[in-house]
Amino acid sequence: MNRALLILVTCLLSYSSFGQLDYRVSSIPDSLKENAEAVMRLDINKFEVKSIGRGVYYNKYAITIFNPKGKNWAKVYIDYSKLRSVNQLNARVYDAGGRQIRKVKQNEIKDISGFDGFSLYSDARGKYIDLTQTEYPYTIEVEYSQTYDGLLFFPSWNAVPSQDIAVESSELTVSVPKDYKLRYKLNKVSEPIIKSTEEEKTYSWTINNVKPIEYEPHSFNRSNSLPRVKLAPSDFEIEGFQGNMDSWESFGKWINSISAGRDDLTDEHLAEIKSLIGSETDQRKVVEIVYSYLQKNTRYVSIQLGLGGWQPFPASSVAEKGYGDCKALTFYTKTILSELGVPSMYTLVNAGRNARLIDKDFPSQQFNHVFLCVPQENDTIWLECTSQTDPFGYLGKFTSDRDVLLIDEKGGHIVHTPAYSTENNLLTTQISVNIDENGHAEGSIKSTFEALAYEYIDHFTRIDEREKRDFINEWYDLNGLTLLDFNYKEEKLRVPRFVLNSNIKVNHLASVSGKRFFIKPNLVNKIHNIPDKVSARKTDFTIRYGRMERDTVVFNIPENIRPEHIPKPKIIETDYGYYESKIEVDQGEVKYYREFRINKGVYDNDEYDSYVDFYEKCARADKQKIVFVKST
Amino acid sequence: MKFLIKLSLILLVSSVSYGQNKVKFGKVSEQELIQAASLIEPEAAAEVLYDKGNSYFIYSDENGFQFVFERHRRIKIYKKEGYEYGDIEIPFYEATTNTREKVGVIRAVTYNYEDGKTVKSKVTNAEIFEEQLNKYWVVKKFAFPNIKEGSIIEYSYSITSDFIQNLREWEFQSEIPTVWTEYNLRVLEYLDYQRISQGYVPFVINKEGNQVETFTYKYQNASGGRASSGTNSFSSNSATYKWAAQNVTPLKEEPYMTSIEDYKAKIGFQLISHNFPGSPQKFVAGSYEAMNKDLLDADYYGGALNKSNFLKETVSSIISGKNEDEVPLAIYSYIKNEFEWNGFTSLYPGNLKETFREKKGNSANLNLLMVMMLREAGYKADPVLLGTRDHGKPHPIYPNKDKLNYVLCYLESGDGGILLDATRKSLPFGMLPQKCLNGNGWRLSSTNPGWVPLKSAHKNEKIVQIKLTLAEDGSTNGDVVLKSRGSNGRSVRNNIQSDGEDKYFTKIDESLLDWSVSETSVEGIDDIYSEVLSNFTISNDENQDADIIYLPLQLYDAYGENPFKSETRIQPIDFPSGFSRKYLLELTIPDNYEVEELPESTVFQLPGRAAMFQLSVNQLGDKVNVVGIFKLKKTFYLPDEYSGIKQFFDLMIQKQSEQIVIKKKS
Repeated sequence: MNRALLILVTCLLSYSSFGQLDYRVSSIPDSLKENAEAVMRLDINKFEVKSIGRGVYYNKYAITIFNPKGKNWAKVYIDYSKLRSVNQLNARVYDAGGRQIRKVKQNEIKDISGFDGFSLYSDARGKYIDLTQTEYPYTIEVEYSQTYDGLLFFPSWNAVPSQDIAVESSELTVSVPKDYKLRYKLNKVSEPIIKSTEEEKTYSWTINNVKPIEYEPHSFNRSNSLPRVKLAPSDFEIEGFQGNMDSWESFGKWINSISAGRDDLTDEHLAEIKSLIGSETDQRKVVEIVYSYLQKNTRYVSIQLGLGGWQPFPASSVAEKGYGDCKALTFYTKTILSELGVPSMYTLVNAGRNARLIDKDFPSQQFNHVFLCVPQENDTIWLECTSQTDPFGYLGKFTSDRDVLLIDEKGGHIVHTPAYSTENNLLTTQISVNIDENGHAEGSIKSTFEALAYEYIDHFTRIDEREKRDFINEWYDLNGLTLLDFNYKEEKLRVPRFVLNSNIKVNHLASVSGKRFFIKPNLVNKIHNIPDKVSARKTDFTIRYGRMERDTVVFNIPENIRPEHIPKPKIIETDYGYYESKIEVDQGEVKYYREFRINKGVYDNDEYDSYVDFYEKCARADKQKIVFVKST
Repeated sequence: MKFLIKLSLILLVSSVSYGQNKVKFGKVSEQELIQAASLIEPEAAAEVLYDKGNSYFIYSDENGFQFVFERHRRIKIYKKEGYEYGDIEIPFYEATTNTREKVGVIRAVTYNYEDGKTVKSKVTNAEIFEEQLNKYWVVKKFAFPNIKEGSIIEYSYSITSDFIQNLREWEFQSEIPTVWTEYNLRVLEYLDYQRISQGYVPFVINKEGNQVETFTYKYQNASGGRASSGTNSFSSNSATYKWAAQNVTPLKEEPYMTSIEDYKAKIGFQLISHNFPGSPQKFVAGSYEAMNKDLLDADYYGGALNKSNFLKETVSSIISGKNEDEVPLAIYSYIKNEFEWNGFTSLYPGNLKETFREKKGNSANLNLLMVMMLREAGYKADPVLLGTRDHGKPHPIYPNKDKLNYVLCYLESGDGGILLDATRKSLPFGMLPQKCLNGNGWRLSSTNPGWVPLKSAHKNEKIVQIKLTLAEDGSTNGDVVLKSRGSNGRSVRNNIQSDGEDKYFTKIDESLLDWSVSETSVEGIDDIYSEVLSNFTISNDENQDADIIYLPLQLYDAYGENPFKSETRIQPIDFPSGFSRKYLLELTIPDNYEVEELPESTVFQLPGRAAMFQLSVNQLGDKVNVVGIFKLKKTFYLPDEYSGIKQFFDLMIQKQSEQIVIKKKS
């Protein structure tokens, strides 16, 4: 009884200790209003770890919105699911003078599906309230709490939630049972104030008066420039599965524990696969047969319910239904390989071509995808089990060149996935055309796409004839182009290669004015996307993938035409890339060579201007023209 | 050779057999399983082999009349890209727990052909999920198991519905080819539906007939103190229909088209009246005139528009001191500036008092308030109901409110009238958002109902004006003015307001690679009624001391790129509006240089002056004058006009790349 009362009192204290708040716009310091579409007036975050399997998160925040650009801050969305419920949600709106003008009734809160757009079914839903007003400025205040049923992760505190907003005050308080070890990592925030009572330990952080931080392009891990506290559990429990996250090793053990016993393929099913293997003993070949079986017989269907968000479906369910999500398909493949005596490892990754890199010094749930690693003495194999079309062992922009968490019997550890080299990622274009006296041309184009460049065209074999022709027309984007015919060859290897040959006719390839002919020799591969300029850049910038382009264009010109103006050879060499172009004239033949290379890397903020300049110079060089004169 | 003939015969037979034989659930033939590609479109990723729908009516004492919709569908998966057709969604309507649609048993089976045997995998009930889409619509979802290249999936379900106005339409065409599709309909004699057909698919069966149906009901009589009960029956001489089509080609998205729903071959049904035994005939909207009357009479529409007392004060304060010509603009500006559009569109007034109080609402709330205020001020104003470009065009004769999703305000004026939309602050009086430019809208009016063309009162116009001077040392300097008018002005204005002036000019700077851009300024940003002027200077000293200078005719890209890259076109082209672009260059040449060569002047146009391009290049003393004009007048083009318009763009872009050649005097 006493205990119950005590809890009640604590709750009351923590939830209502804020009396009348001052939401007058006039009380915001001027320095914060500058360049801000909105100012976070207060942001109170409390997270109470009740037990290793349960936590309560409370959040109350108020934002003053100055203009329509900040409108989205007034559209409030609180997500919930089977494992995370929203207990109370209140919202109010105040005018510039700080007077309350609206209080949201419970029946005005919309309940909407939180589908990610690729899942067939998921239990993710959200509460939605639209608080937008016509008259600016105004202040919205939102207060809610969420119960975490299962504690695989703790809420993070992003003290500055985005780059367009200034923050007047924000605080985080985390309380944990006295002997519970809270794990946290700080970014641009100072150490917490820690208080202990007999029952619990409380950590708190506050931050005041932060100006908006402007967005800068190509800031790869831009959230690193914002103050934030990452939190993670030590011991945790979710739906009866206990684990510990102090190390990657122990986290890996937990992953193992939730999939234990799910390697339940029937002998019949295994026999079917073994019959495909026959007497093959070469491990690499065995894996290849299994992967091709997987690609033929399964497909990706995502169903995310409760713990199912982390736990793979049993291997037998994939065998039975022929579908599963990334966890199920990967685990199924791993089970088959293991039955065939080939060890493989379930691997967690934060996938995506521009995905955030994980923080390997802070073991925690930072992943959004699972794939499979099959260690081999030389050249380990990586398998994307959700794709029916990837070449065997292909590691593209989705999962290459990043830290991933490998899970083996002992637990987990971090390894780095391989990357294709800049020279691997090669796009070669070879053109040869005959030009007649009216400037019309006829000839051929051969494009070769290798490694990551293959991703430009990896869908080509799967589209219909009309779409193929559309693709070629759009890829070359050459005015006056008529595609006569084409053929192609795809080599689905670990370094995939795709060759596309086209025969073309081009009306007015050369533009003719009187007796002169003008040709921009870089016909189909001009640089279009110059990085956005940034004045006085503050953050470093990242080029995530290196790549290379090599072009050769040969023009056969009529006899009575001679060059009048030929652009000089160009070489531009920088840390970020290299550009070279030159033109050779040999009687009736004009040859244009070009090479363009971009080097991956992380570069200092003060180098950014010259990076943009490099691109501009290359783009300009790509537009140079040759002038010919007709001798009559 | 013989073998080939035999094979093609078999295929031919198999493709027709759907029409002649009854297709039974579960009886999938070996031929169907073996078939490796579609005969309609060999590269198709999947194909509808068979799709059959039945709709008919039932009667029960508990539920009264209901319709039943049954569907049986069989799809062949040829390629991995077709796997997505194995994810099924069945939407149904659930207004309350009393009136609702019920989905009956769902059967779903995947068939694979393995080692000469057909292997079946069923979808179990546990694998069927239900998701609440919004207040009324719920969807059943499931994924077929064991889908491989070559699989056939088959499913059937039925829906029993209390909503006779929801009688299911039937689509005879899909994004994949369809071998056989048929719809069977049996309609009670008490119900009158208007059929709405569209698309170009010929029917192989198009049959109408009659069939007498008998329904029994229980009765209880309590007259004269003696209760009697029993069953009795009544019958309906129902109309029967059967439509079938075969080998239907798929539909695809293309640039510059309105909603794909406008092109799909389908038959829909509009309930016009019902006349159940024992109740008088009741008409439900069956013509636009009837819909017009219906909506005007309805409390929730016409009634709501008439209750404008709460606006009186506001209107009189807005109009006080203004003359007749100023009032409409004042009211328009009032709604636009004082109200916030919540981003949603609607056809219905909803609670207009609340909109007025909260100063916030959907498109219909705002535009209908404007109608009311204009009327209150003594003007003739009416709602105009329409379907937006992404929603599709309404049928010109048979109304279906689901096809309408937006309301504009029509203001009658001396020269015919003007359409107004107050949802966006950036819209000047009489300009419509692009998505509203979709054919005709229905003017909902007690005096002048009818169709009005959905046209903006503003043009889409851009003028590029460059004055360029070549100096004696070969360097070039110029002043550029970009004049953006009408909807082009609005888009530039929006662009600058959202990204800022710096970004806007950075983009221009990037497009003028050979030139350095400076002294930038814009005018007309704050006033949405003025044109937007973007001013800047350009310079280039790469040609210093050059003997020959080549200057592109078109320094600044005024016309844009060719939007049509595809070689052929399936659907018509439907531009939202016409537009015009003008390019003016005046080049001054110094004494020590002379013109060596100029591009030729030219004019070309599409038949009937649908689009025209005119270029004139002249030299007058030390000045070269270039005038380029591009106008697109006609906005709708049939597929066989496609190659013409594509060539037109090609030619225009090619003309722009021609050069002016200037030589140093010797």
